[in-house]
Amino acid sequence: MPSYPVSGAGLGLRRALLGPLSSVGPEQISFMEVAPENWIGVGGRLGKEFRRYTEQFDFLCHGLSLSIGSPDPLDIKFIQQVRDFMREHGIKAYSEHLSYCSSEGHMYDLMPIPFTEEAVRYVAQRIKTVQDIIEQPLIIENVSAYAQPGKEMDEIDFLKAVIEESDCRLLLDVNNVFVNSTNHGFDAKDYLRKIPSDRISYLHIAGHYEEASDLLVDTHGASVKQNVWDLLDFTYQQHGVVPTLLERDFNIPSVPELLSEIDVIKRLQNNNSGRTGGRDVRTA
Amino acid sequence: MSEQPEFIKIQQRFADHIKNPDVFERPKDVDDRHMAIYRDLFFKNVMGFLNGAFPVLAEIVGEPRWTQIGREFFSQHHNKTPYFLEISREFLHYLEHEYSAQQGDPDYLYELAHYEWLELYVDVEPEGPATLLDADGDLLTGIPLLSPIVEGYLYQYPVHQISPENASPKPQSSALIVYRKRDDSVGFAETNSFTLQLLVLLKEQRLSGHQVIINLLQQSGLAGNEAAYQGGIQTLKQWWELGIVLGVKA
Repeated sequence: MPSYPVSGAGLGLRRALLGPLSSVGPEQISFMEVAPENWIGVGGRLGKEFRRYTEQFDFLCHGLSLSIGSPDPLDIKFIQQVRDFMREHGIKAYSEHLSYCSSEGHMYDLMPIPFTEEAVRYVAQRIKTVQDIIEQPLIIENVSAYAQPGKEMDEIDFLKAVIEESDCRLLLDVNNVFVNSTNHGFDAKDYLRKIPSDRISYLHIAGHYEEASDLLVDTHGASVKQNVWDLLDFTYQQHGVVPTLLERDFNIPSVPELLSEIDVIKRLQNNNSGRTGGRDVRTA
Repeated sequence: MSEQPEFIKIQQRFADHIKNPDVFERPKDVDDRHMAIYRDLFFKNVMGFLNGAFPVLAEIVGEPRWTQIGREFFSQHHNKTPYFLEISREFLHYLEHEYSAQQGDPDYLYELAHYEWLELYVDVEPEGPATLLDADGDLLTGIPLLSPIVEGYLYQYPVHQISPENASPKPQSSALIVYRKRDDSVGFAETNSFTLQLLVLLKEQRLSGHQVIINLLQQSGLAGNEAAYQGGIQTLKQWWELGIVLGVKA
């Protein structure tokens, strides 16, 4: 059986949600995720509120500033601070984006790594360095992209090569697969079929913004689109029921509305229960 | 020295263009419609951080100058911090060391930014290890304990009174204390340069309230001045009521 760091259906915790979610419990939201960059070194009233959450819920770290593919050197001190933060709050795992967000300084958003063999080796080496420091596998996420500069191989092959060479885990963002399949013209299901089930740690799902029919932007600012829900269902059919987290960072709706989207995740998980790693055990 | 791998050079060009599209051309294999998504996302994100941390300054400086300052910060400053709440500190550093004032920029620009940053700092800075406190102890015989996060600064402008409605104040020396209150909210107190020295001595947490006042009076050439001594006691009591002083060391 696959083992996952968390289970069920989760939600990304934002500062704006600290108040609204105060009466929600783990029976409604199975696990949560935070950007360590928003919480390391934060005390006072915010630090105390955050503490109440990490005492109550299972947590994952979903980082933004690691910049695993960056031309800049890895920030070793920062990685150690992430490790210490995880220990302090009992956070179960650390995921990050397969991208870079700095070049002669931090730029605080994600840029696409060129899909080349050289980049695979470079990134894999840096992932290993991170894994040595945090003393557990790093979970890397496939990112949404609006350009593919310097591309020499397909995204799926780049992703698989990095995972293989670094021996890391995967956070599979289903919305990002959909966004990229539209933006760069590939078959989303074909991409999902090629993902190695045993590398997946958890899934992300989110809404996106349609800039044009052939250009989608991963804003995390809208509800999940039906074709992305369909793709999540397909992912469960292919890879079994994997823990799945809803990301909502902007235009945050009411708590009942958020919980109703989390209930959709749970329903799809229930519909697919018994499936695991590409096989349907009910028919095995 | 070994040459940079090709993909690194591509990444640097991509990033340079996002930071400063007027100077650096976009990568040749990316069309403008797609590149524009990145340019907008990144710059809006940075401006969001600046607007959130410096709302008064943003409004007073106004468009288009505020956006121009934001672009200079984004394209020129080497941001070292991975932490989002510290971007405001990086911006302060930029204003202090790299920014060049233009005609029309207020003279108090840096001071106002500093004061707005200070509120954020006091709100989120983690507290050090707690010292055992007697909240009702005698402030004169005991060693007064301060709020865990308390900062006092002497500004050349009344930055606490600046607003879009009061955007052209005359220079006026302003001693301001910003601190974490007992309920964790941020407190503000106006004081004077004399009592700022009191705050400095109290931060050492070494001497009784009585001794701190005596030392302060000696430093200021007011030794033996009973009225000044009583003034010091009044300040201590007032600070206790405000939560700048929490009590005495138990």
